[in-house]
Amino acid sequence: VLRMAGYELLSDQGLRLDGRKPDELRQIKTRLGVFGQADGSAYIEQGNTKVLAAVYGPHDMRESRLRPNAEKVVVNCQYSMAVFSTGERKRRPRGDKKSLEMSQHLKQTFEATIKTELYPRSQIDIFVEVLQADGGNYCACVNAATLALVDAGIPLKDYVTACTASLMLGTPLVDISNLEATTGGPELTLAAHPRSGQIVLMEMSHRFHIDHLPEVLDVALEGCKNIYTILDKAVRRHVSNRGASIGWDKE
Amino acid sequence: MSLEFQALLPEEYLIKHIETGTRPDGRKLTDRRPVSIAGDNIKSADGSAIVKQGNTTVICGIKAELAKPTTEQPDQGFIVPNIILTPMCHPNIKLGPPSATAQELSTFLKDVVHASGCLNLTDLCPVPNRVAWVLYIDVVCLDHDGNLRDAAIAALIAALNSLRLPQVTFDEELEQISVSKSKSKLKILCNPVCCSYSVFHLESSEITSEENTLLADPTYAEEEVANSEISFVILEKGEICVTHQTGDRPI
Repeated sequence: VLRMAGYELLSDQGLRLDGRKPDELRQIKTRLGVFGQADGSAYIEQGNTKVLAAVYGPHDMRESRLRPNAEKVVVNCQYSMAVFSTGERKRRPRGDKKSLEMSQHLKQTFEATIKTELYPRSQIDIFVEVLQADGGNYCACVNAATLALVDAGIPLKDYVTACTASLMLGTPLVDISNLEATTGGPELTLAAHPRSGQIVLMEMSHRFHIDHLPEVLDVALEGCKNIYTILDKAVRRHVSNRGASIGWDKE
Repeated sequence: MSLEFQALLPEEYLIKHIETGTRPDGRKLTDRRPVSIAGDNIKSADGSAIVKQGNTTVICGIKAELAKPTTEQPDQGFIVPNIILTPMCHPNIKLGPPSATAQELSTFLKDVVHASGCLNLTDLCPVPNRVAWVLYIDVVCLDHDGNLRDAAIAALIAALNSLRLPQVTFDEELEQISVSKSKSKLKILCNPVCCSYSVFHLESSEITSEENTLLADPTYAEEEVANSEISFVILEKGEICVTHQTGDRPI
C-alpha cells in the first residue's frame, strides 16, 4: 500500500481512491451536436473532467499567419481552459506555454488522423474548451474532438482515442485522475488509432524502469480500445436518433 | 432559393419577413426563444450556471478569492465580472485579446450588478479592514446566436444564486486567516432580468404606423442587419434599473 500525505492510492483490496479497480476507466458521458453555429460539436465527461469541442470546416483560409498548403488541409487546433476549470483560478486561459504545447499536440494528433489530402488549400479549425479539469485533460480533448469531427462529417482514417496510464507499486493503473497524477508516480499519455493499434502520440512524465514500459503501454492501449467502443456506440446512437427524426428508416 | 436570397441580401430578406409579421425562424416579432437554465454544474467553481437561449449558449463560473479591502471602502468586497467570447462560438470571432464588444459587455455586466443591488458588497466582507472576498465572475460564450446580453445576465444571476462561500475569521493576535470547511449561500437581494430588442427603421411600414420596429430576443443574423439595439434590465417589482441603447439612429 502506498501512503502519501494520508492518502492510500491503492488500498489493500486493490481499489483506488475513487473506488475503481486498476484497469477500470472513469465513467464516460458523451453528447454530439451540441452547438448550432459550429459545423460539428461534442461534449464529453470522463469522471470529473468536462470538455467541449467545436469544429469549423473545411473552409477557405482566413488566418493569414497560416499559409495555405497546396497538397493538404491545414489543421488549426486551439486548446483553452476555462478560468474556473481548475482549483486555482487560471490567470491566462490561452497563450501560456502549457496551452500552446497542448494545442500543438492536438494538431499533430489530428493531422495524422484526418484525411488531409482530400481538402487542399483549405483549413479545419478545432477548438476545445476544458470546463472542469480533473486529470486526463489532453485525453478528454482528443476524444471530444474526434466526436466533433465525426459530427462535422470530416473523413477520418480511423477514430483517435487517448488514455493515460500509470504505475503504482508494480500495478499499472489506467485513466488516472488529477489527484493520482499529482501525488502518485509516472503518467503515460497515449493517443492511438484503436482499430489498427497504431500509436499517434505518446508522452510520459517522471520515470520508471524500461522493463515496465510494455505492460504500462498495453494497459494504455487497452484503455484506448475500450474508449473507442464507448465512443462508437455514442456515434451510432446519435446518428440513428437524427436519422429517425427525419425518417430514414421509413423508406 | 431563400438561402441564396439571405446570403446575398440579408437586410432585404429580413425586412420582407418583418413586413408579414413573422421572422425567419417562425417567431412573431415579440416572441422570445425558450430559455433553459441549469445551476451548479461545474464543481471546480464556487458557483456556476449554464444558460441556453435558443441556440445561444453561455456558461458562467464564479471563483472566490480573499483580498484586503481598500482603505476607502474597508467593509466592502469586490466583484469582477468578465465576458469571454471564444472562437468556438462563431466563425467570425477571432483569437486574441478581448474585442471592443467583449469589453463593452463586461462593463454592462458590472453596471447591472451594481445598479440592481442584487447583492450587498458588505456581505462580501467577513472581517472589515482585514479580509474581503473577490468574486471573479467569468461568463464564457460557447455558442453565439444573438442576444448575448440576456443570456449573460441570466447566467450571472443563476451562478450567484448557486454560489457557496465558507466562513472566514481573522485572529487579531496571531494575524491569521482561518477558513471554515462548511459553506453557506450568499444572500441575493433580487434577480434582475434583461430583455433586449433589435430596432429596425422601416421606411414604409404596413404593419405599424410608428417608424421603429422592435424585434424581441434577436438572433445573430438579425443583430447583424439591425439599425440599433436596446436593452432593459428589470427587477421583480417591475422597476427598470439599467437601460442600454446602441445604434446609428436615435429612438
